[in-house]
Amino acid sequence: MNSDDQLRALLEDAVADVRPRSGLDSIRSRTTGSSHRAWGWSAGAAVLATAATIAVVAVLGGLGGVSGTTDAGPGPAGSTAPTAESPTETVYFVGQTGAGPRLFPEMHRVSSTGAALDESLGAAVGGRADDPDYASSWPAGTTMQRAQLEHGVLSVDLGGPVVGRPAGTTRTQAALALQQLVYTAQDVARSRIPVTFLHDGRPTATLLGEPTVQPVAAGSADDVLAPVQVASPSDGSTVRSPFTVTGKAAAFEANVQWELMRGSAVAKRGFTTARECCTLAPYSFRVEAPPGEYTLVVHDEDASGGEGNPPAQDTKRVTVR
Amino acid sequence: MTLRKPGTTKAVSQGGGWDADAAVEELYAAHYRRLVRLSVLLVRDVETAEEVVQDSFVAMHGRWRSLREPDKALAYLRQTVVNRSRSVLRHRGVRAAYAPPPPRDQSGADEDALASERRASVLDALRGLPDRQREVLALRYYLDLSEADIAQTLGISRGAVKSHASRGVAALRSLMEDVS
Repeated sequence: MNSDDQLRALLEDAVADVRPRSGLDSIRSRTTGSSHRAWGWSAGAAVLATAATIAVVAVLGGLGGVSGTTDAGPGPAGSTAPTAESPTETVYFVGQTGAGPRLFPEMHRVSSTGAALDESLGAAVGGRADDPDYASSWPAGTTMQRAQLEHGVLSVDLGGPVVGRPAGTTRTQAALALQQLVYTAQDVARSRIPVTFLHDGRPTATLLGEPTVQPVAAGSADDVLAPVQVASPSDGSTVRSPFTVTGKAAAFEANVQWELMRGSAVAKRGFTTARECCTLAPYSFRVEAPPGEYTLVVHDEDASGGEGNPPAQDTKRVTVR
Repeated sequence: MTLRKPGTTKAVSQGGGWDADAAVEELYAAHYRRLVRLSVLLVRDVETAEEVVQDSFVAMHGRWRSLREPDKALAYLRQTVVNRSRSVLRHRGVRAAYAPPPPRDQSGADEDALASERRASVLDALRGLPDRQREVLALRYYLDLSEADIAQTLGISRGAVKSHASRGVAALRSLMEDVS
């Protein structure tokens, strides 16, 4: 045997005893009902439109200070870079995508490293996102009591009407709500320890109807996170032209497309390539535009033509100085 | 059957094209097991590999409109399985490190025990390699892909494929002596 044949034999043999269980039923159950997904997409689009309207009202009503908290930095790079006096942490929120609700990361300032877990999880539960397209899946009245990493246990203690699954909440939404906190807690704690959930300081069999007897592990990023995310610039930020847009995308053939919208008109458009195809991978591109107020739309390619998943996108309102 | 040359192409041209559901069924029948085994070479854990491959089929179904041809669909599946296997390793670092070895025949015969040990040592050796080396070895020696196909699947240059392959082969050399 030459060494190539030896290697072939070695690898063939290494997995020769792997007999996977049938996965066809599981795949089928997740690929049927494209029409349902199409409906979900229009509903999602409607939600986005509504959120955008609310955002406009909020800004006009003088509540713009919420997004003003991320404007302290000198632009997109400054707004995400941790500083000594006020560290930033990643908080996950729920937003709509073509494939249904998914998690979007957003950078948030916290008052100190010691308070990072409590404050970040509080923001996640309360849905205090800068981007009006993002929200929390936790019902009104949910309180974040304490989050800590102690003796190797990463725990999140919640209060309020959250043990059972609220009417009108699907299992998928409930599971995503838990993942929202698992992802946030693990990112802030710099740890992949599964999260132990408590209710009013005691272990609880369920939260939102999902089992929480065992600590909850993070789901696969490709299933849980939004397939197109803009990390910078953050929503509502003011930038100088040209500015750099960064984020992550799991896009077909790694193609990422973008438009800079002025009202409903496209002021600029372009495309770039994420570092890898088909799994969340970083992308970045530069945009040059005259001063003005824009909405940046970043999305994957609409290759589906109505079959399969519609495109996924993330939008950010940006002022170019 | 190799993944490079799907034996199903003919049925397609005769049938005038599949829809997304038919593509899943056909490609599943022809390639599911081999893709799971490919993923096991990359992530070690069988259950994780099953999940990765099932997710990849679901993703392929969603993209069928832009794939349409079985060759393209298969290339997409391969690429998705490799990339997702890598991202699972990154995201589930802890779980992968403590993943139990794949289930084996527990008949107890010495020869089986030896085979199990040998398999485990190959999978362990692969897990010890950098991602790219492991991927290049699996694509080249398990799927029998050409250098050009590997370069395309991994999104790296052919030169990089060569250098990853030669380093990977060197790392596994001691194991190869055991099976020669």
